[in-house]
Amino acid sequence: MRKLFICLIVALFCFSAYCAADGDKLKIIYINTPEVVVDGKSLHVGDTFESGACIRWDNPRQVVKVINMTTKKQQILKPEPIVVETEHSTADYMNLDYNLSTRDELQAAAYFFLEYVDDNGSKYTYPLSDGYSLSEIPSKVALLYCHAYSGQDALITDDFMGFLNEFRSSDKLVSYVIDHQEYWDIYKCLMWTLMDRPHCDVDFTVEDVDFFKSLKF
Amino acid sequence: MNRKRFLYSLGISAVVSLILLVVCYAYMNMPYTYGYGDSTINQISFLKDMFRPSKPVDDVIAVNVSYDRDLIPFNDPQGIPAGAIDITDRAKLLEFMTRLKRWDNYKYILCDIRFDDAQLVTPYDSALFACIASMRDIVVATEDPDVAPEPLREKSAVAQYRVRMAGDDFMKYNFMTDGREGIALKMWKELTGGTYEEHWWGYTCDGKICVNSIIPDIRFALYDIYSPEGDKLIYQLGTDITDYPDEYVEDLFDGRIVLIGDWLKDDLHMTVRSSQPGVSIIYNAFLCIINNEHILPVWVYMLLFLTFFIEAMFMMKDYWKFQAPDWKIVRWFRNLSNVHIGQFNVGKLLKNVLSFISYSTPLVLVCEFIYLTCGVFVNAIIIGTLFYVASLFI
Repeated sequence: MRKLFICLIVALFCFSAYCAADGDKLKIIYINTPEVVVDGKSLHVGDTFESGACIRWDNPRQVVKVINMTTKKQQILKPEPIVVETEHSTADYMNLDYNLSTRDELQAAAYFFLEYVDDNGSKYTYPLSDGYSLSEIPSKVALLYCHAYSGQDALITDDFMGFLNEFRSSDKLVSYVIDHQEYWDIYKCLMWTLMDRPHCDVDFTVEDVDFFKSLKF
Repeated sequence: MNRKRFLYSLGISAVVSLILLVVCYAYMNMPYTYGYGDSTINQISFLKDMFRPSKPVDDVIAVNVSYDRDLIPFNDPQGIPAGAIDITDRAKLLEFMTRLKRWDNYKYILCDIRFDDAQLVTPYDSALFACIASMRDIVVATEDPDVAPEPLREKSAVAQYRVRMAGDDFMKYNFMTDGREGIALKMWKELTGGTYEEHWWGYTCDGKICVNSIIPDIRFALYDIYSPEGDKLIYQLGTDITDYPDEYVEDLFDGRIVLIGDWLKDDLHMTVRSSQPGVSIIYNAFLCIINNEHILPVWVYMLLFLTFFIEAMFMMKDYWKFQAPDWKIVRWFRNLSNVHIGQFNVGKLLKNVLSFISYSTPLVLVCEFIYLTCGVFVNAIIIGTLFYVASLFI
């Protein structure tokens, strides 16, 4: 009886240890590269892996967004430590600096890019800022891929680009897109990206291009 | 010491202290702070932060609408087209609300988005309002329930704070404003079934005297989208929720209070503890009311009464012939009036300053202690000045 009791305790201990070692399953819901290598296997959006698995990072800006299938909470994984821009610390009671200016200008020039892939798959990057007019971008640009923090993606063709250049900063554009709902999302995304989201430096793939090319506006 | 005068002074002091206590209660219920209050509150909030830093809590989920915007035409007050204005993407909000209603697993929804402006109309409004109106346990922000869209009136509550002339920082949260319920109060009432009443003399909560206006301690705060470990703290309405199928997101809301609002961009207000989004301030006010922090403990009133009483007795010390002990410092203080620099009686000036400080300092310490422990602030300098001025005439 005593031996049985000890065996039960040991079995329980082993089971607990197994459970503790068994990490949560993480489901990939977003990657900013075509794939991510986890434990030697290439994984894509929709694949799952264990929470302690070894991820091979291909570049320092790679990021993977996952859902923890146990807690259903979302989290991101990055090769570099996540910089938390905590606005507040005890030291803030002593000194606080506020900006008396808008945040566009330098940030926009530094971080906002318009990316274009030509028919051969070559990629061109154009820095954008308020002072850089859309009309200065070569007319052969066929695609404008905007990836704002809002997560909205947009594809804009030459024709639509010309349309935007013509009507930019004009009330006519607003009334036009209201009348033509199919342009609504594109207009929203473009305007918000230009005006408000100076973070648009995202790579996209040949598959992306093919997909976007299949869309017509 | 004259015994008769002493007893008479005791009576006067008690009456004065009672009157001041009533004045203090009225002051606590004022919707804004006065005088030197703001800077003092900010400075001593540092102590609160040292001992009890604000942090995320697990039973709420923050949904951000800052980056889910919709541009719609906008007219100036004269009805002339003025361009376009961005508002929350109501199509996404409708989808989100529809899913929340279908899942029906949330605890409560605080939607800190106002739909009051009749000019800002989208094709999704009627469906969105009908959906919200049919949901359980939800409150929507409004400037005034009477101007909220008709279907939302029952679900609406006031989301405002009041400042005095020159200030624009958030200081005090009012559970009721001009007889209208605030969001925190409506949430509390619906979640607990409690009663809150306004009377001509003040406020009661479940039959107990309470204050209507409180400086909420910011114990819950989210300063970043992610934690240092990469966990999502603030979920984006579109890219984190409506873009995914139910199976990915449904469990996120299970049993949690859903805080929908502009967490990151426009609706930010400076508080005693850094800049906070409006929705966070309201939730912290809700935490205050659910923890009964608006019902001040009896010792607060007793401490205030005792302090006033001692100061009143001190004020009348010459009347009841108080015999100060024959200490060196007392003698020094008595002789201070004789110190001159040339023709100027520096000693008298110094004596007056010290006298003012002696009235103000105990009150300041008591009031700051009460703020640190209970979150209500009484302006001690005003009362200290009253005592000092009265002492000059007695």
